[in-house]
Amino acid sequence: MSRIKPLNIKARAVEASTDRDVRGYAFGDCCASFAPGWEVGTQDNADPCPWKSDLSLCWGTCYWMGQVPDYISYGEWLDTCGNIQNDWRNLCTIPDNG
Amino acid sequence: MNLVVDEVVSLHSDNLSHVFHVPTSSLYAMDSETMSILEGARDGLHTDQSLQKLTADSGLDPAEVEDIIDNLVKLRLLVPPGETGNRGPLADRPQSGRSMGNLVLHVAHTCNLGCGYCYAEQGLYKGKATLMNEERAHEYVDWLFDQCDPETKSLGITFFGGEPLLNLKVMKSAAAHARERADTDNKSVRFSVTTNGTLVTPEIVDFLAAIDCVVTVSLDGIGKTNDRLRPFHSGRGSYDLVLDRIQPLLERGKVAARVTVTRQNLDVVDTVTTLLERGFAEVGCSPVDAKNPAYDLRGEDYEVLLDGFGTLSRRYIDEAVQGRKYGFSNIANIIKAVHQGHNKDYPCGAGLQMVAGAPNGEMSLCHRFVGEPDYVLGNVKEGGIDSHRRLQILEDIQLSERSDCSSCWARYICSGGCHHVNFLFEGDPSRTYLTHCDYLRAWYRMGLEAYAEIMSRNPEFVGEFIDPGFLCNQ
Repeated sequence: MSRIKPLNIKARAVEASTDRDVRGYAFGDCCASFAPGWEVGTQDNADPCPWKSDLSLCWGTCYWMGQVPDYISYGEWLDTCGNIQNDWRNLCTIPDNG
Repeated sequence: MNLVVDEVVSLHSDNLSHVFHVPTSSLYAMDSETMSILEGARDGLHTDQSLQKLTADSGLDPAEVEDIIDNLVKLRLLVPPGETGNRGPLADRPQSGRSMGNLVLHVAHTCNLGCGYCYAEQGLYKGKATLMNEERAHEYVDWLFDQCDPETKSLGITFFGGEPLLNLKVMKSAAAHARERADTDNKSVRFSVTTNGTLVTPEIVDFLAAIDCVVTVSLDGIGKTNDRLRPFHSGRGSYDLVLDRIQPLLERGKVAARVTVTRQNLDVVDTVTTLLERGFAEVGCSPVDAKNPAYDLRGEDYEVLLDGFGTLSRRYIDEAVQGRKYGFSNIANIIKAVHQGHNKDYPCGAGLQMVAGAPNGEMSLCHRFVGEPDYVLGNVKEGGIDSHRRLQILEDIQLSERSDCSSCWARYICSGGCHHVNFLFEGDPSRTYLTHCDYLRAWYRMGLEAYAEIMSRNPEFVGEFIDPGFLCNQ
């Protein structure tokens, strides 16, 4: 991106997130959000707690606890789903091994 | 192809093009071709024809335009029509469930000065002149440590009033007790005080140094200007006495001055310049909120104030380019906010990380709400804060509840403005006081431009003074 330079911390975080799969993340309502979670936090060390970052994704009027799988343990969970709006039925289910 | 430009603010200055993305508070520098593509897409890229027209207008190779658009999409500056305004995970999460880290201890509800604009009615806060007793101060300190999360390692106590130095004995006792508790609980405690400076003695200078207290002295101008605004009750001026008494403090360094700007002391350039020359480490200016036409700023006054801020900000930038810091707090604070990309639902830590404690035990949303019964969060004599009441108030005053702010580009930086200003002028902290808004937007824009210029001309300054360790050329 030689033509655009991120200056502040948030711009750098956005640029860093372009390396991740953020398909479907832009849905406004939490129940339609298919974000893959932010296990290591999006602000480097500012919020490194996995469960908290997943919960806080939907902070606001509601949250849906455990809505997304642990993306480190299940890094390929979105691979069967090229387009979240069309292929969401192909999303794999994370087995409950507990 | 169906894309629109997300909510952005374009900044142009001296061959520099910058874009501030409102939903994420991200700031980008971009070359002129990228800026022209972004601005050319203002009406949307809804069809292949609109893309072809944009390409033709730009004079660039189609592959180059495609590359630029691809990058703008990655950075969410161009988004599908239904996906505008998304903050994603970049909003700063308020920690409303966490414990308080800062206590404003109102050790004295009385003052030896009689400033006409004082929101606290010369320190009385709608009550009688009162000094906090030692027992109460210890209760507050114990409450602060008892309610504190185990992971919170550093707590802050601000001595406030009225004039806090009128109750030096309790300040000393509270500080000693807080240090004992910090040792016992394996935490650290930071102290600060806001004073009018009239009562400072060598003994007090030693005490403040011993507890490593950050000192802010209120001064509203130079000489007679200050005297008119900050007289003793007798009418005598306070400027010469204050400067004389605080001299030993200034020699120790790191003393800040706070200037309350009214219609009567709009020459902030002279005030800030002179106070810095007198030895203050930094000077910050804050427009008064008195609900009194003799003091409150109006249209043309804001222009004078912004003009002065512009002059002082230019000095700050010029010094920053040379690798030095100029002690004008306002621009330093806004540059820090821009650097971090503040994206907040609350304008400050009131009720989130900070609470004020009055001499009678009442704990309020912040120091300015002391004496207002509707914003009492609890009583230190009865176990402290009522968490239900706290959350109720926090829910009412968050940004998302304000329709007035929904279309303002500065909403995630300003977050609706000071709760107390809103309360004072609109009768409700959740209703935005719109009179300030034009001034605030102009000021934030100045801050964005200042940060962009510093990052362009001497980014190492940010790594050295604003965010130690930040790698500017990463």
